[in-house]
Amino acid sequence: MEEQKLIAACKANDRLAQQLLYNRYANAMFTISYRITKDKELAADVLQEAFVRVFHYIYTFRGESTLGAWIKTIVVRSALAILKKEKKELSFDISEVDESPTNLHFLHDIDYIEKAILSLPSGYRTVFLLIEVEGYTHQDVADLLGVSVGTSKSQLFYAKKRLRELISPKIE
Amino acid sequence: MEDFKQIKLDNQKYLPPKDLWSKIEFDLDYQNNIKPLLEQLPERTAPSHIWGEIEKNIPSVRMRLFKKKWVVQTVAASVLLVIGFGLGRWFNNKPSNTPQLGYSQVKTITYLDEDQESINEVLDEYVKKCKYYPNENSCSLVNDFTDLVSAKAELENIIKRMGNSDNIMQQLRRIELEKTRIIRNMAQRI
Repeated sequence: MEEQKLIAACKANDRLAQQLLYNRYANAMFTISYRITKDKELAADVLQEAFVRVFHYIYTFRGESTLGAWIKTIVVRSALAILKKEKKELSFDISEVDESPTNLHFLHDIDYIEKAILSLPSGYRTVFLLIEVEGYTHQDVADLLGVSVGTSKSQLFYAKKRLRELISPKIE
Repeated sequence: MEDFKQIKLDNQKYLPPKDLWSKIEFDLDYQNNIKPLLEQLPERTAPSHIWGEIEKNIPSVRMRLFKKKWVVQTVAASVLLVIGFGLGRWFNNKPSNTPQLGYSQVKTITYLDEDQESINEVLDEYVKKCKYYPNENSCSLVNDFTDLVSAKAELENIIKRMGNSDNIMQQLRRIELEKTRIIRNMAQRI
């Protein structure tokens, strides 16, 4: 179904259209949730809460961004809210880095890269994921996390530096 | 022009930070070696039970129709109430040609008993006292009353001779009213 028709049907509360929309975005949004929360159960809660919000508020969607970007913002906000609720607020302490992302089998072991990313402290990880993987700007991240643009930039720099440290020995 | 050509910009005036190259090198390294890998990060599969949970928490079409119907019914009922109230008021205030029941209270003023005995008593009492009043007008009420009695007797004679007429009857009523007024004044003074 074409996206505009899908949105219109969801606004009319068509259950099949809602399910179709969910199926279209569920995996991508679950992935973002998991990378932010680093916990599959929490990520499932985030996905559930976020999509309930999506269907409640889809009547407010005016098409100023893509539907995917709109849903992604809701998912990120839900993830940050759940972390806060679970008292797992974002940490920007680099000493919390997990030093042992192991099991590297070959250079392009994507799982290793993901583990390296997940080993970053939650604050660094979230900034890195939102900007480098999801394509947000520093201003977007500053607004979402309630930090300054400068903080976002410095967190990204340290996240990249740390990742390079974790990955470079394997590359060289 | 010559002077201008001779001016040489000092290329060493502003120097970049010493660690800039290392930062550029770092970014290049990141862009070449890490960034491409990020695009290949695996996508996770959402647990299958989540849709069922979401479905429980979003309003169904039926629920929404029910809500819509409920809102429409409420609005309709309110409109009917307002119309009913308005019509009721209009009917209550509407001028009608049909006979209507009503009542009125008529107050009757009771004057002195006009029987001759009572009048004579008042006259006697008044005459006794009015002599002592310094005001001349006080005793004049007796004269006024005597004049009225004379006028009445004259009219009664006319009726005997010439018969009754509306005009004479109207004059008799006026005389009686005036006599009553004078007797009341006398009664107030005794």
